Amino acid sequence: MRMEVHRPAPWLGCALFGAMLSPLASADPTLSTQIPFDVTATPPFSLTSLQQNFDEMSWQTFIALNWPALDNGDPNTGTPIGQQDGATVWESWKESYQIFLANGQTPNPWNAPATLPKTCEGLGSGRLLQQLGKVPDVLDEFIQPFESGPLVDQSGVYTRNEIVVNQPMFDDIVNNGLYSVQGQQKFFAADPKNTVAFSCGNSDTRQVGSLMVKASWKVLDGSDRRESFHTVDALVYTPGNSDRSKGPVVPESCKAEPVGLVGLHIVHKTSSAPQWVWSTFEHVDNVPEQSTPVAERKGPYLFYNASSQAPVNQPPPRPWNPAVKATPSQIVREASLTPATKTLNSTYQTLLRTVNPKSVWANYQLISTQWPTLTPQPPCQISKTEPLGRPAPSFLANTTLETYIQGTVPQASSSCIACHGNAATHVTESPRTSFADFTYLLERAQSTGATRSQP
Amino acid sequence: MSTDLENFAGLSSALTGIPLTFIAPSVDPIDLPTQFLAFIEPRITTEVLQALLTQYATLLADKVPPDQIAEAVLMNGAQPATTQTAQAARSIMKLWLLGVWYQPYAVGSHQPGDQLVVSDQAYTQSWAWRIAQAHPMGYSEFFFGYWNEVPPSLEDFTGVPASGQQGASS
Repeated sequence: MRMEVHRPAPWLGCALFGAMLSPLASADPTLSTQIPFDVTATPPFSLTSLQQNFDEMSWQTFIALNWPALDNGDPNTGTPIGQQDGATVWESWKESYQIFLANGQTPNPWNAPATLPKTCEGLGSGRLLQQLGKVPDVLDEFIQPFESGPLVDQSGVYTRNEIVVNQPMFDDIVNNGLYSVQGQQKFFAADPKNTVAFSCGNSDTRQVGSLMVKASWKVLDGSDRRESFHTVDALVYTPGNSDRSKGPVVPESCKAEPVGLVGLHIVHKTSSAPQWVWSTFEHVDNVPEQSTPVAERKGPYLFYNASSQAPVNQPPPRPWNPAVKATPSQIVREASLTPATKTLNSTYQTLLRTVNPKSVWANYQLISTQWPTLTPQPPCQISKTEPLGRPAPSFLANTTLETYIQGTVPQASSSCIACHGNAATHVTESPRTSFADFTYLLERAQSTGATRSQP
Repeated sequence: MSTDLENFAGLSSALTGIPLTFIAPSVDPIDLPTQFLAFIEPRITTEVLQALLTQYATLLADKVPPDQIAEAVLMNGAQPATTQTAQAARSIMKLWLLGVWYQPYAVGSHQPGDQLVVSDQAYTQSWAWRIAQAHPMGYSEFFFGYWNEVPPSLEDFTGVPASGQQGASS
């Protein structure tokens, strides 16, 4: 956490990539438990070559994070990824509901087990999934940055999402009191130069930076081929709502169900990417590409019915009630994968199948990686004049997480960096609401109820 | 032997005074030079474009400084030149500064005085905003609360040395 205001140097161009990025780490396709500390950029530098380098970083991070985990969350170096499906490294990280607690309570320590809603108690020890969109609670419209609607699978069931953070980011939040409104207030009141700035990965110090993972899951049923998914036994939780002004009235519920991974954002802050590196993966069966002729969309797809004439990429009609089965979504991918990304996907999928021809991880594909093309100088510092860092590609969407905001319309279509550049803290009074370092998580901080201090 | 794109980027830098690395970054996901070059050629004619680029390349080869290249392209002694290359050059300057193409003379269906915002990116990335140390209406990349802070310096925005101007240096 940076305790003083950023003073980045003027933009100095891409030549600095060569000077600041690590020549040590290998970018060759490998199956490794090591999370990359930063991108490995290989000269001569160009937009195309650097995109390839960041895409390679995405795949290496995907493999490290999905490596089988020991009970303590560390990677099990004795078991190769995909030999059999099981709990992964990132699944041991802290979910947002464990950090931003009711009444702004202090989160439990990193290694403490998750606490479950009473409704879920006694149903087992699965992962708790409750989100229906990119926001914590679809029934609570106040805290939604935009209302883009839930994604419905072919069985009429809403997909569920979660967001987790790694320990460096968790520690930054907890140690600076950013988990509550009053804590955020105190942080900014302590020094007018204080800014939210999570730690950057650094190849020189071999430090992994702050990481967030956003995952989308579908409830598995008889129509799914379970063996093609990374699966977990989840507790699918729906918060109750009795206030009609906030959405449909639904009872609180919790159900133990198997779910399969369909989408995965991996977001990593590094020295060369203080705007974070935004990698997004999907299950290969999710949707067809829009550029694929309708007659060639054979499927079967998880979120597209080849025999349906329904208009594509339309959110379900309101009210959005997860307790009621909905009309299946009819989704296509608006931006096709590039040939280079397809080739890289094939390389890594082939590599994963060397461990196990039926590895579930070979059924996932990188959609793309969004990264800042401006080289920070000094490292880990954001440009004053172009704080978004000129992201490439300009737009990027995961069809399970930004389903209805795909496209290329500025200020409307999904651009990870541009959207998250608007993220702010939950301090709504003096001294100020502030930039939250590209994460909306801090908006989830709740009030302890204590009277706020005056500036 | 430079390409047309390289000569166009260099000419644009000379005309605007903005460093080439800012006009045409080596890693550039937006790539306005390519977009602009493709846009203007049918509007000023290939002949005028090639004459302009050749004039620039020749002066560059003779190691003429950028400000003198701009003067040679734009001026006729103390008066603005009235040649088509000079008129096209002035429209290119305005294109970079405003993101708007001002048709300098008649070419096919393009009539003098025609105005067109070339693209959303031409508008949001136009240099007038940065020279004003500001941002386009409806499009800001700055973080929440930036309006309560002193904007970055003119030098930071444009790469042009401050030369002692008030507010221009960091």
